[in-house]
Amino acid sequence: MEAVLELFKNFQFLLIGAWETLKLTAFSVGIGLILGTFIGMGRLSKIKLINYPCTAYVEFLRGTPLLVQISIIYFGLPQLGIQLAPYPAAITALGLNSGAYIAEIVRAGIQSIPKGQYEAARSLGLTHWQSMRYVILPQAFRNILPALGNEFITLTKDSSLASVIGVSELMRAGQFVISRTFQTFSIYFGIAFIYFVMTFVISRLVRYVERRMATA
Amino acid sequence: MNKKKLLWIVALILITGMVSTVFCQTLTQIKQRGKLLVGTEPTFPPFEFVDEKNQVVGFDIDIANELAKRLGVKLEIVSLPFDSLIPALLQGKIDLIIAGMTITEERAKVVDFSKAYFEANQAIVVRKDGKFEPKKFEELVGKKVAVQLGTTGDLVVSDINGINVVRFQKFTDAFLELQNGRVDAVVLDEAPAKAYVKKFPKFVISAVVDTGETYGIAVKKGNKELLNFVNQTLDIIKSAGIYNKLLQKWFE
Amino acid sequence: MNDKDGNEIIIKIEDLVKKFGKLEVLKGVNMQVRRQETIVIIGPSGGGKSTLLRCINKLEHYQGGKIYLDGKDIDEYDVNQLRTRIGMVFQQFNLFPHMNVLQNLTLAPIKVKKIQEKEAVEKAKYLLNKVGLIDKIDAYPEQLSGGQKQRVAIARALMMDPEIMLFDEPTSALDPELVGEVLDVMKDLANSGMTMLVVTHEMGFAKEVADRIVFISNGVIEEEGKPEEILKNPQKPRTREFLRRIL
Repeated sequence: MEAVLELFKNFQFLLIGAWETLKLTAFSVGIGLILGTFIGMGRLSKIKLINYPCTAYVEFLRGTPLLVQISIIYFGLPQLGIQLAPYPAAITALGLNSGAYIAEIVRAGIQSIPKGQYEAARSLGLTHWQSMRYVILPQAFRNILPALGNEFITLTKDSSLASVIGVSELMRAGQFVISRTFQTFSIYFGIAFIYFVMTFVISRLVRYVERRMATA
Repeated sequence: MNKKKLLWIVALILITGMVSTVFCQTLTQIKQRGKLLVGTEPTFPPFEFVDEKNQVVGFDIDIANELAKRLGVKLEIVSLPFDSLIPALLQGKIDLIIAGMTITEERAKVVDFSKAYFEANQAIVVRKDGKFEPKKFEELVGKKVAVQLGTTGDLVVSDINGINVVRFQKFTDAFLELQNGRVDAVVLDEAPAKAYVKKFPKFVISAVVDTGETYGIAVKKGNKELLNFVNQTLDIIKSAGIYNKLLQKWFE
Repeated sequence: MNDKDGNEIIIKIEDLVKKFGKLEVLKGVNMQVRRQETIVIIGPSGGGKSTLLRCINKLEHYQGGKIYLDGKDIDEYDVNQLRTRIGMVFQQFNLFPHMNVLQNLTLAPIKVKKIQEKEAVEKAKYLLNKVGLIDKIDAYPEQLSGGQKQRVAIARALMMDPEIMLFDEPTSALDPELVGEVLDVMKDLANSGMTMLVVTHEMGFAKEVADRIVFISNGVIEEEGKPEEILKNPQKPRTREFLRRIL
């Protein structure tokens, strides 16, 4: 009973943490989306000087744990003279990481568009970039929206790893509450509940946008 | 700009970058910056924790405030997991660590410690069913013992052969294991153990062991200037009676 | 550049060789296209007809030979500039499904030719009127029939004021009852003086509209001539064989 009471009493602190989690995720997805779009296109380039680094980027970031990447950015970069505060470090790491996953989604999205679309655009005199921007990417994004939604949800959960470098997101906020109230189970349950509500709302939002785009 | 020039500039940036992390923050630099960066893990009441106003408070934080006040700068708390504190200090993310950190030989190899500012005894906590009430660490041999990763409790039980040590990021998680019956005891510092047992009478402190271990404030190795300042300040607040007031405020 | 009869040559193809890996699809094609001429290219599938068209606007790279536009090697043109002068219509229409008809038409003129949107819209309306689809200006491609899609695709190509139009089997993907409306638009276009290269199996269209028929088989031009010559009195056995099967 006391456990439930403590959860309610401290719920506001969890909500503050949840807001931090949302901001962190949104920024990171934003960076990931921009990065992923360019790297995804780069992966399809026939020019080796573009293709190889993009492939290496994707392979490296997907092949190493996010926790390690966060630690490298926060604890490793000072060796090169780059001091990032926890919050920028977390956004950088999460953004770079999601960039790799989104790059693969974007690549698959571009490949799902029939070749004739690109040829038609080029035959009208549009450049490669114009064809991508006005013809291929808008169609690709419509196709990959569900996959991007999944990535958003994954990142929402993965952002809890930012707690290891002291970012006061939901997980860390919860730990603070636990250390004060000692109510381990009920607070962790509250944290799980809030994560669930967030990811559920995001998935509904994505589905809504998807449906709107389908009828457009 | 020609290539050679560019190369020099890149090299210069790299070198200054490395040098700046090698040299420590001098007192002058801290004063220029206007804030003292103190690393701590605020999940360790009553030394450091987040209160109902979402502020980091505690015995250690009050000491940190005394330090900042006497330097004439603002105090900025950098909250990090306990095992990240020393790396953060080494990388220049923080000026010093006040985190109920026990002075050990191992740690003293990589950081410099101030004088001891707190006597830390270790408490053995068990379930209050009277089935198992160890009085010494030796009685834990052959048992499963939960500790907080990287703490003194971790160090002392890990030193004894035959104890099955289970490590957790948070000591509250260690207690959850004890409650669930997956471990037989939790070993941690006396102060947080008392606070926890007071709140949850289903646990009991079966023994408080004087390990002769003490808490110290850590600064980057070789940062004599800051270390001297910390030691002087500790002397001053002890002789001025501030220290005793803080003890009363947080431990009674 | 003019031919011996004094007609202006707009496109000249010399010894064109195109390979896909080891497979030689065009084995040295020579051809001249006069301005305002309509050429219908026929021949068995896999013979290289479509590939020939796609080489002209550089959708395909070729390994040997030269193509000239207005007497200048097409490699010397900026590729995007070259393509604005050569319109192309595809078998699969390739309308942009995320844009409505008007946007399909105005995208390239606005982005490539940098003309004002207002001007582009006026022009789009004019061309949609010509192809009989002004009432579909706000429709999306999925709301159109195959024949309507292809008419929009023709209008889209015409938006760039091309000097030459390439048609790559424009009616092959259409239901039989929709073929006529597309061919009518193409006829009007030919009659208005557009230079056209049409790959098609529609012999009626070839007979009625073509100035010349070119028969391509196995990567070479087997035979070419006026429609009545080729269709009624083919000289080569392969041409005879092909026409016998198709007619």
